[in-house]
Amino acid sequence: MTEINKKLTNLLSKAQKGGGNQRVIAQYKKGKLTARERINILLDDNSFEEIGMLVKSKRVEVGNIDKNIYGDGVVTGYGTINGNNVMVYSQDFTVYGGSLGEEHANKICRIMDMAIKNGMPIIGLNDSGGARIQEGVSSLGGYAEVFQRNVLASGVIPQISAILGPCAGGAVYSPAITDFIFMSDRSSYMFVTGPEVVKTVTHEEVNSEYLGGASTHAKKSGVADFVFDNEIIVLQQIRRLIDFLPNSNQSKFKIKKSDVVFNKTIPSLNSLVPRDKSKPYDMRDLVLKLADSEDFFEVQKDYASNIIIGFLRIDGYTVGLVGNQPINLAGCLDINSSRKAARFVRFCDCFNIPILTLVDVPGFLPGTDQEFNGIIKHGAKLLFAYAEATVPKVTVITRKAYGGAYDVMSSKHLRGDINYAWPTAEIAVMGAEGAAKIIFKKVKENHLKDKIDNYEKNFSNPYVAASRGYIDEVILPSKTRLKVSNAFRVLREKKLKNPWKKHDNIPL
Amino acid sequence: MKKKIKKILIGNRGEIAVRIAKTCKKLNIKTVGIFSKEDESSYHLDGMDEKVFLSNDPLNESYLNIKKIIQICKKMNVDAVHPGYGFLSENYLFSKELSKNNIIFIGPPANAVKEMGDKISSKKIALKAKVNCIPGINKEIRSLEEASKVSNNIGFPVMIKASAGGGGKGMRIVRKKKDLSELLKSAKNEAKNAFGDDRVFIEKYIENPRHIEIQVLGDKFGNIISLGERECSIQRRHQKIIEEAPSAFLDEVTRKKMGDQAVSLAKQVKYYSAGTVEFVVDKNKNFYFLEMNTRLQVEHPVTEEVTGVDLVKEMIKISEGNKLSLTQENLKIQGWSIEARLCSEDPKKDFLPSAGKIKKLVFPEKVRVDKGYIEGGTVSIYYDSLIAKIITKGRNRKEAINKMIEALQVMNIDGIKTNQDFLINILLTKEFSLSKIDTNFIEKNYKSGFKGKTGDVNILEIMAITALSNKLKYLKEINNDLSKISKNWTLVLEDKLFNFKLSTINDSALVLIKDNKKFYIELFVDPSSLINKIKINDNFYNLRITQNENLFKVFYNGYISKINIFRNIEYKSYTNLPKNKLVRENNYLVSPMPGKVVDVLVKKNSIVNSGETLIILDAMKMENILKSDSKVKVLEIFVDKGEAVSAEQNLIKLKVIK
Repeated sequence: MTEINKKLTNLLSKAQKGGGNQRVIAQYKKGKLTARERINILLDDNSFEEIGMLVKSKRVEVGNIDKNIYGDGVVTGYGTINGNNVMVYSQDFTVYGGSLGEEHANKICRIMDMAIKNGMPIIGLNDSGGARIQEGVSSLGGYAEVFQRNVLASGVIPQISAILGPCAGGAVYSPAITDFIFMSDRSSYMFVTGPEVVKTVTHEEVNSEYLGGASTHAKKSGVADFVFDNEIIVLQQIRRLIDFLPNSNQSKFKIKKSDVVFNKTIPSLNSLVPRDKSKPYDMRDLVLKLADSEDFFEVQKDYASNIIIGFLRIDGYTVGLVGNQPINLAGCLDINSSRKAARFVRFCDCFNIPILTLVDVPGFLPGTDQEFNGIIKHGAKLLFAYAEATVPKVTVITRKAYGGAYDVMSSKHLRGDINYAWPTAEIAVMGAEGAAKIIFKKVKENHLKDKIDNYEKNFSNPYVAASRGYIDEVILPSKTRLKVSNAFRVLREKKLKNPWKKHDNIPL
Repeated sequence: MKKKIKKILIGNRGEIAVRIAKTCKKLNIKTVGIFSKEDESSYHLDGMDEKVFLSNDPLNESYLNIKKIIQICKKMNVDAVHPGYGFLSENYLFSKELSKNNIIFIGPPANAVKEMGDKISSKKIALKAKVNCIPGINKEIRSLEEASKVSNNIGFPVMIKASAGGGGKGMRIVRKKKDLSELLKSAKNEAKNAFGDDRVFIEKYIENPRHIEIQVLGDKFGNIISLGERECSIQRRHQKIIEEAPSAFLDEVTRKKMGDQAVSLAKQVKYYSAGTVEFVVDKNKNFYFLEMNTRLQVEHPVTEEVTGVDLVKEMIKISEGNKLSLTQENLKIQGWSIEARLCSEDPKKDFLPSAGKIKKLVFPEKVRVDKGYIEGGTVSIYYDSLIAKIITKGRNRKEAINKMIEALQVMNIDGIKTNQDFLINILLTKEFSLSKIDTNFIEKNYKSGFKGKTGDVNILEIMAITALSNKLKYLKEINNDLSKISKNWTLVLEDKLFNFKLSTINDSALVLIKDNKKFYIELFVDPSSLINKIKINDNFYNLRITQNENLFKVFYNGYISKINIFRNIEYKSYTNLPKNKLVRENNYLVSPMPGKVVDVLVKKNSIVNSGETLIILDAMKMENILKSDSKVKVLEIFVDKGEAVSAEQNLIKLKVIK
């Protein structure tokens, strides 16, 4: 090898060492991997092409920073996930604690620009101490440059964030804007202000894990979409998510080629809805039966679990699923479930992913807590999301579809393309008992029973709605998979445009 | 007097109700099904022409309520009742009441039911009929002196048995004289608690006996024939789980002797309809009368398979007053039949019953399945755990066993725990294949319980290859560039590491290499059962796989292996991570099923060793002992004695002590 080539090889190998052995070992002890290991796991073997490996921090305004470290605390580049091109950045905690300086930000911005221009997902692996204080306002500027690009990329390319270490202060807002946040359990946290500041300002004592650990964001705040036990699983599951998603809002659907066709009747669905109307059942059972290979990738599994959202495939094509979950809060809509589903419906609509909606909803959750916190506007978000969505929308009402919640859940009136109902469906303004009590206010208790039965017979069924054309067909539950698969097939080339606008004004 | 039966009430639930209805349909007889609140959506009602609701109560006020059932019979105008097994099938008061109301009881005469129902009276009759009986005294033991005299006469070991007994309750084996007093007391206590009757008797204890029974069939004209034997030695908790016909142990002479004695006993009580005479057989082929079951047995299908006789049909015909349609001479036993009982229970936890919704249940095709549940059904805590009986037939024993193994392999069940893998495991033992079995088979062969683990590298290799092939199939289907699929894989099977190299992957071939050995693979995943049917170098296998993240649980031949699949690059990083992550501080003991707390054996702040009992839970007609699996401190107890609990409910908050 000539001297000049040898010099390059040495340089590259030095650049790849990051912050050195000791820091790497410290990283491992915390249950964390190095920035490059993470990229290697995330991407197909040997597919990573690095950009900006030799970038160095050029301005050091305060204090001493080792100017001989290459990469400026972030590894950036591109590669493939199961053959699909993606852009990726991975913050290196072993270099300056992964802190974000000007060049660090520039590197991220460069690949974000590439991702937008070339129409491919961007995945950010976050593990950073925050703004690089030594670089002062330059690092703040860097954050904002990233935010701006996140916003421009939103709805154009899928943006995925993994939080694999600390992510605090301004740093949280980039992931917050992206489409999905993954967190590794017990080795990551995110918050706007950390425990120290919390204690100083409010005297509240709290640790990082409780304030902003993965479990908190999965269950309490809903900030995290996915939480897994360790980083390796997080990275594997990001690959799985990418398998479901198109590369951009311009690209064709993602198809999984399968050698077997699974279109058959499923007799057990006929008894899924219990005879006793007050008894719950697990909507997930239906979801799994409808999905190819029973493969369902649930999003925000532990948050607002009165609604289920996630991805599945039907005949190999990705479908976004929204379903009321009767086993939690009877499947009602409330603030959290409305927001959760609304954002998901909008994501699917951005990326041309058809939406399957499974309805068993008794209405909106009543109470002062909900009203004081603005259920009116939050509930409207889900309505808005469904109404503006132009992707194929197929709806199956399994049981209750009461009141305003009936309208919201991808009804015919909100441009539902194909709306099915099971024979057990009750599409009405409210349950029979409540309705009879209002209509027949003056009827005595002992006669009320007849009125309730009457209402139930005449209105608590799918046939009134079907006679109006609000329901396209009342189907046997056992035929649901067949019907849904046929519906999506006929809608595959659906074209629908909303009127031109700068952008809409969703009730945020 | 002949009377044509046009309508039958089937006084049962589950698989036997379905089984009886099938024959009724064949005979053009209308059926009436009955159900409790628990059973309102149960599968057994699907095949009935009419259904009548019994009660909200699951047992006493429903399937056991004689008055109510007779009322229904009258209202629905039925000619006859088939009681199935269990419930009222051996209640002579029921059959008496029916005949008072001019309704036919499809079963034996009431007095035969009564006489055979009592262990002491049945033994007296057996002696009179010259049937071999276990040496012992056929009367109640009233005192310790009496017990010790009797035991000395017949010689230890002896068995103390409850007179009203059944299901192993009130039974004690006494090996030494000094233990007699204590065991007598406890047997009496248990009998009193279980049956409200503390009468016990003593007989010779037969070591390691086989359980072999004779099916008899008789008409009302005194014709009684034997339909050969069934071997039912594979039992857990004194309940049979694998039965076969014929028995590999009997020779023609013994078979004939047993058959003759069974017929002679039946004649003694003027028996008609179907009945079973149970014997224990010792290693020298000495056989002794155990009891007579005056009903259709759970395991009747194996007899049907080898004789070609529809026992339910015969029972109906006989009760109509017809003569037997066949004679001892023209009855032929052909081929071999095996039955395996699929139960909702956890063999790894001492057969703890498992209740809940059956989320997946795909039965094998091409074999007889007598089922009581289908996918989507719910197993209730109130009833028997039998889900279905799988019945195979072969030209010989080996063929019947092999068919059974395959049938069990291609079944896929989710939502409840079952003994599927345990059954496969038993069928694959060398002992079973050689018919080296007795009623202690499970205790002997699964001394520390069924774990489903194997160290056999060849078996693990098949499991690993299938898991990886399953993963690669997914990657092949999702990838638009097959060259991007990783070539090097590390599979972690608990303490073992397997390294595979992907040599070829394309539309027509999948080739893996491990330790220079090449594996040519064809994998087909059945889209509805999700069974992995795989061909590895010309051998075919059926495996079940469940996947959660990168953890594959592989089920094969009764073995279960947890396999983590890593690309090599992932595995390298995996080894860099600390092995023990923070353990969550507090653990909870949760209720494995809905039930009632019988007793809480610990107090707040007590320290409990691994294996000690924390709570006793009554569910599915059984007391289930919930033990601690490590040394723990009890932090908080959330339930009281007598409290009803739901599945997954937190019972106790614990802290693991290291």
